[in-house]
Amino acid sequence: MQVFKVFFKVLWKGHKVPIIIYTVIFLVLAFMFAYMGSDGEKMFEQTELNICFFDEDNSAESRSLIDFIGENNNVVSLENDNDVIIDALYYKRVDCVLTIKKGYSENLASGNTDKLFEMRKMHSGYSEILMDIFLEKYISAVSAYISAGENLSDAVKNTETALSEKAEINFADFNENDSSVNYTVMIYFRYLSYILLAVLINTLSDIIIEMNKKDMRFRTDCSGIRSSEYTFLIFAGSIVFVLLIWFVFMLVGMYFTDGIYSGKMWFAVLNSLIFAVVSAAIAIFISCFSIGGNVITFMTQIISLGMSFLCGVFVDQSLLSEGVLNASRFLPAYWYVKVNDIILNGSAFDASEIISYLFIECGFAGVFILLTILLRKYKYKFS
Amino acid sequence: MENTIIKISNLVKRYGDLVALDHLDIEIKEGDIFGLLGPNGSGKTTTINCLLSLLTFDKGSIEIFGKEMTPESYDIKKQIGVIMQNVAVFEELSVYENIDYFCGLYIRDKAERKRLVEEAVAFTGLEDFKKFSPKKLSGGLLRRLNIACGIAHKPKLIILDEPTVAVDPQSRNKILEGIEELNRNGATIIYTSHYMEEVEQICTRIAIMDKGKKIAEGTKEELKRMIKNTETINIEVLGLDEKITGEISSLPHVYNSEYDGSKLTVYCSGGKHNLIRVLDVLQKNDIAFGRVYSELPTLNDVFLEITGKALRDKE
Repeated sequence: MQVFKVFFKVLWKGHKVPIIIYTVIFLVLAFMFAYMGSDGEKMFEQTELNICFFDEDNSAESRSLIDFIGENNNVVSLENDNDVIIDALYYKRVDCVLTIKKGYSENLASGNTDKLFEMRKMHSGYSEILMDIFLEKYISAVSAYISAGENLSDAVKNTETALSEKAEINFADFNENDSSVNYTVMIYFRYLSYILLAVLINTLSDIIIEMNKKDMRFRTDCSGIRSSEYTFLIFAGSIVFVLLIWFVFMLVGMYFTDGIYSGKMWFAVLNSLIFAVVSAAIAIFISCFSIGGNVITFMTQIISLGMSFLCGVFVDQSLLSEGVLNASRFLPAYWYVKVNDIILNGSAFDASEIISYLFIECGFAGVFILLTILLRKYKYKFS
Repeated sequence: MENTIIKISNLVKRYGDLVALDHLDIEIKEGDIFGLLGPNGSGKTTTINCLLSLLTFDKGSIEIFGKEMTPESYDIKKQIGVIMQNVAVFEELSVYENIDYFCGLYIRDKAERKRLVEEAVAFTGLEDFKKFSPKKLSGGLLRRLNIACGIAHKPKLIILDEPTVAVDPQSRNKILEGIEELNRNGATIIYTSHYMEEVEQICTRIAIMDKGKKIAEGTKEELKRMIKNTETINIEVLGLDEKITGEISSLPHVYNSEYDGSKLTVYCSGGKHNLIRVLDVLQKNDIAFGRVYSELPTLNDVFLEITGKALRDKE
């Protein structure tokens, strides 16, 4: 037990800073994402523009247009002075200045719609483009009603009625049947793969290398403890550490599910546990190479960030190119993310598919453990 | 009659074509401070590694405490303390925790271990540094910690492989005094070094190794008796001619003399008043001389005479 105890003592004293830093940064980001995601995801807000009108026509139709636009936008009054208008546009007090030209109603009735307005705008943002589109749609609709035989007054009225109808905005819920699965918790689980890789490679590789340093191992091999017992105790320490780290992140994850995991979420929990084991296997494999702390930190960044970018942790797999996806199939994080995506996309949920992917992840762990055993044997033979 | 603690018989260890140990025979008695002396690459560390079953060997046998030593001889290993040339401690643990950990590899009982660790701390004079991280210790203190980690479990046999490399003279003396005290307390010691002065100072028996072979063994007096030289006389003197150097060379017990224009070196074998006789020759010829000193043979002279080369390059 002495070796087991020292494993954790050395681990805590020598690696608490990176463990805490990684964990805190991850949790802060996870919480930020959770809160931002929950608001931004389910909210739709119509854009309102600040518009100034100058009505040179001053007809019933032009006033009707101003009133109609004013219903969904803010009408701003400005002095009809070029400098004042330019200042207002420059300082964004108004988004656009619309002048309804004299003869608007007559030209509209006669179908001469080319120069009905003069629009001045400083910025070519999406809101001003929206106004262009709206005016075009409005005039087209009025023209269509007139063409259909209606008089101008009725055409304007019918157009405004038609354009007043708003489309209903609904947010699709991928997991209507399973309330335990939500977008936020699944994003938490997706990002978890990065943090598991980063924390476990950074700490576990380093501690195993330290415990197996030539001089340290020499001293141990000379002692009364069996070499196999020493290796077993380091292995046991690694397993307990992996489970501990995983358990802490599972507890935090429960915050996002509002309680104990349920339903399909247990697959996500199992997936994360298997991925933690895969990460540990990678860490143990790296520990075969007697490398220094700085190199381990460098390798941690390369592996964790590289795998996360290539396998769809940071960028959705649907946005990755076919070539990248084909290459990332040879990395365990790809299958981890794939399982998470299946759990999130409830309509296409297939437990057998998930289980097959979990086995693939286990296969990766097995390969790394096998490589570790072979490499250690090779090193022992030639040392 | 003293018990034999270690018996190495006909040990051969090869690395490919290189013969690292060539039919080595060594016997170490209980209570010895046994010095393994030899230049780098002579096979000292290979001998120790074979002794501890850290290396397999091609031929021969090793017995420790009357039993054959194998990698699984944990009952034997428990009675051995090893202090290597490189300091092997955990930088994350304190001085006390390090000693406690290494002692814990031998002693499971917590109370007994606590007592032993405290004793090791006191023995190595680390009382004031118990809570220090090894990173904050000086080179000498670090060596003492290394020793404390190796001896805390009170082994009957202590193996020290060049424990004073890169250590300042003050710390070196403390370490050597400590080794002698461990021996007085009943431990048998194997001490490997290429520092002949240290070996001469503390070892009761010495084996000189070269190219994997034991070329001589005995007490330091026995070793010195093996060679022709018994005294080397050095005289700072100017203007000697061939007649006078010839006269000195023909003195009884003088078997060789060298003169470089400012220093006369006279090599003697046996005889009791060699220095007086050499000085008489100089006085008789009215030769003024400066500093005069006589040296007894060292282990380096022994090594030089047996192998034809110096034990250690001049530093």
